[in-house]
Amino acid sequence: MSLAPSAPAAERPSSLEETQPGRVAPIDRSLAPAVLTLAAFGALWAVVAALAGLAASLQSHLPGFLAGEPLLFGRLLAVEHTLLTFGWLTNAGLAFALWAAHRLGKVELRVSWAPVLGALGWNLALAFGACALLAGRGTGLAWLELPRAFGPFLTACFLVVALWVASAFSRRHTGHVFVSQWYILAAILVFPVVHLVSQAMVLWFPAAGVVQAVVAAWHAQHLAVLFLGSLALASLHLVIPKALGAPLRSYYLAPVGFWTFLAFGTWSGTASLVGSPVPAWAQSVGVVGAALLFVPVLIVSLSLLPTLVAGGPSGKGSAPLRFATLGALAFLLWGAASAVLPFRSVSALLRFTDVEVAHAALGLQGFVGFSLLAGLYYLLPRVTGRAWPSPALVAAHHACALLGLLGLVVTLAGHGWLQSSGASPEAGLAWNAAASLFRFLLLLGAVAFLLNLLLLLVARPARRDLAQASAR
Amino acid sequence: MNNLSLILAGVFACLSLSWGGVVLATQVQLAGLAPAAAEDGGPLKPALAPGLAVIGKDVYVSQGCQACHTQQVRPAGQGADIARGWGKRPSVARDYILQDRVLLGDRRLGPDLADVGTRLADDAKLHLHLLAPDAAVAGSTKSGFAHLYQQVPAARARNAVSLPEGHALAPAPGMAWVPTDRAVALVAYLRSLRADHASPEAPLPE
Ligand code: HEC
Repeated sequence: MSLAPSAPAAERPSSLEETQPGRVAPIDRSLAPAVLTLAAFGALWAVVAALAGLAASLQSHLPGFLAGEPLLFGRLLAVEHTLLTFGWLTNAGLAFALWAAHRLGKVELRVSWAPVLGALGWNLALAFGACALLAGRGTGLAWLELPRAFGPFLTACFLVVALWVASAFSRRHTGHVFVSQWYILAAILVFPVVHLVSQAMVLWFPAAGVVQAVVAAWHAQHLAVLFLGSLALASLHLVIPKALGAPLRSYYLAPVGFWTFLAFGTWSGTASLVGSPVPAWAQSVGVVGAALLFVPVLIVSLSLLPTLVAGGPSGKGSAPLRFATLGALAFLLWGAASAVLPFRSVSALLRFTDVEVAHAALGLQGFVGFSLLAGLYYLLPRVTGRAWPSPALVAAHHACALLGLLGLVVTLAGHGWLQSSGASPEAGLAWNAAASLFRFLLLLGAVAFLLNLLLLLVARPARRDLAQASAR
Repeated sequence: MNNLSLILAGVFACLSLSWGGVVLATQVQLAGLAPAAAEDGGPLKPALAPGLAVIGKDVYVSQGCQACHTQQVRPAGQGADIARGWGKRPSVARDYILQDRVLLGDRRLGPDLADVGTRLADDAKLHLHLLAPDAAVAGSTKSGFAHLYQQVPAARARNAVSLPEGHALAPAPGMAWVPTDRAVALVAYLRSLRADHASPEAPLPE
């Protein structure tokens, strides 16, 4: 047993089965039902979330647009957030985790109906949950929006999939352990533990007073960074070397990156409570944690980005690599913003403004979303044995996602800056309208991905070369 | 170290440490907090909200008001909350101990509401803000909550909300807008949001 995940030499670009055209390896075939279920629901929720986000955004500059119940601004935002995080990102992350755990461990998925059932349960519950939110039954708390009755069921469904991931790890046939696998294991443990504990302390047996706010902040940060963020990093650490066919630079730093990511990330939750009525020391702990979190962000970026740069033009035109590049860049930017925003002098100005919304979009839709898209673009052709049916849709997705997110982050930040100067809401209308435009682009991108995925699912098995498939 | 249980144990240890160090520690520190008087013999604050306000809080949450409004006044030097008139003193942990759900909020598209009950101590004004924000604030960009109001014949109308002449929402001739039960409860809740008392941790200025 070594102290570190094995050396990058083992991250060989492909194994034998993968290079045979038009054939699906037995491992991939065993994974298909569960992975495709998760990916398809994820892509669907991404579209619905983008729709809800767009509708809310339109309301912010067209008062009276879709006014009245049930499409109230606050409810639409709750739906958007829930479906973005638990719908799109979690499904995509689990699809990737399930696939990667089996692929890297070189084991087939056994009893494949069980994770399919878990996935169906999770997504059915989410569908009901979204309706409950629209009906005004949300809790009003970020990341804990769903009525409390949903929590235990969702966690149980999650655990089914998570157990299959963990079992793939313990059954693995290889001595090598990749850092991706570490991130995956961390993620599947963080979600159930943190979600159940926080649900209990806020919704079932509410703690007194502002302790609730501390729990909620701790929960939100763990789900965003240590759960979704870990899945995203797992995807980047796997897709970049595999798709480039080159080992990661400074791979020996990966374990340090992993453990510091966990150790600092876990303390950074209360950074979002600066200035609030929770004890000052708790705020300071969060500020320090968030600043230290930039250390692993740098370590990981210093491994991923130089690898991408060295990979050079060979990465051009490959969908997994294009999204991985965006994800890795967003990770660095998001990490820098996370370290700076909580500082008291900065927070005094920008707290509660749309700069924070921009920061969240950069982290969730940028870092996590793009990184997991890299994973899905990489694995779905392998699982189905087919190339992406429409390269045009891939290109459209990439263009819309990049432009949409960039524009959204800039316009939200601009609006936030305006807010911090104490301008009247009226002065922000133009910014809000621009944000709607970019949200529309994001919606188009999500639709392009969903369409392509559906085409991939119904397409006849094509005799296309898989190398070609991954090059798209 | 490449052993499933060791990795999971390491991750779990990280989580437990921060849970104990942040969550549990705050819980222990604040557990003893109870309503208190700012000076000897003064009234114990905070006080329990009236029943109607408790119902109104559910309306507040279900209408999604917390998406645009926070309920925390930051100390001077940490943002301009007090300078903007959103409260005379910063919010402190004691203010929230009787609330079953704490809605500090994290986005401000509108003003902070921690002390709105002092600022707008007038049911009619609050109803106007909800029914037709643009009638309450010129150039308002906020969608109204007209679905919390209904039109009844003016003769039977109690607590009618009067709109300015020629407003887009002007009721049909002979009719008047009155609040539904939900709006009545919501306004009772807003009136109950007050931080105009001194607290042992945060005296009122002067
Ligand atoms: C889309 C964001 C948004 C939502 C949702 C929202 N508000 Fe507002 N609210 C504002 C804005 C902006 C203002 C500032 C005045 C204006 O422009 O109308 C405001 C002002 C107010 C005021 C007056 C505060 C003052 O100090 O003058 C009250 C009271 C209020 N809102 C209560 C509510 C309640 C209750 C709800 C839920 C039913 C709610 N708001 C939902 C944006 C919102």
